[in-house]
Amino acid sequence: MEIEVSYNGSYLIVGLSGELDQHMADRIRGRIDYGLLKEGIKNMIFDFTEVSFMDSSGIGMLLKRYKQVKKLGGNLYITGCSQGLLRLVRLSGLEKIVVLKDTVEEALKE
Amino acid sequence: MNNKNHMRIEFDSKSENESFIRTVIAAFLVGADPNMEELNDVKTAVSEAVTNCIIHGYEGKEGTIVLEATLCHRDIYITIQDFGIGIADIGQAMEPLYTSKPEMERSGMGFSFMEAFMDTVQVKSTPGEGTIITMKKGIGRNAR
Repeated sequence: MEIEVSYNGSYLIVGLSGELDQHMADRIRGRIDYGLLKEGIKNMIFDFTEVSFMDSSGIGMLLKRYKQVKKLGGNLYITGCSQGLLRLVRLSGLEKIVVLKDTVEEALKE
Repeated sequence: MNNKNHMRIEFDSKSENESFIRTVIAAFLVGADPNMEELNDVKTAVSEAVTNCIIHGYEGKEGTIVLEATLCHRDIYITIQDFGIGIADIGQAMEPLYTSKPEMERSGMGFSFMEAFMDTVQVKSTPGEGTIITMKKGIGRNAR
């Protein structure tokens, strides 16, 4: 799994590629935590366009990030989900609390 | 023609093996000609079970996990076994959103996903001895 972290105003943008399981969630946690420390950050965008697989470990990671941005007064956006990933997001109930968009650009327009 | 196939694999309880085992089960399942959704369903269910062995069965310590799979015509039967600490209350463990490891960013959805993606899931466990998860899925049941 590859991770790319960038910033846009109050948005921390995390681009992921590959397979997101427990092993990979553990490896990328530190990068995301570090990104949230940047002053002014209160929203997160997770871009899943290049993610080919995710299990409940990814849902757990997203849940934690949701709680973190809520404390900052922001929102968690998820973009670029395939139908398979959307199925997990819906099954877990996550779609009721995060903002789903097709692209990062759409999320930034919010 | 014999439409039955079987495999058994033992591997270390290391998180890097989660991906390896998904590849193994996907390759084995090809014989049943699954569609993409069915393939992903089985991969996800197996990934959940293996992760449970690593995180909960062995609590991150060394151990051995055994995956067995039997393909009978287009039905796949999978067992995943660990010899770790076992589950004291299986009903509680299988409740959606329940996790005994909230500090590890666990969603508590592992068993829920297994049950959603497989036709049947059975859990047998003895505290102090380990856990066996048995799952079954019929491939090709849904219209393509």
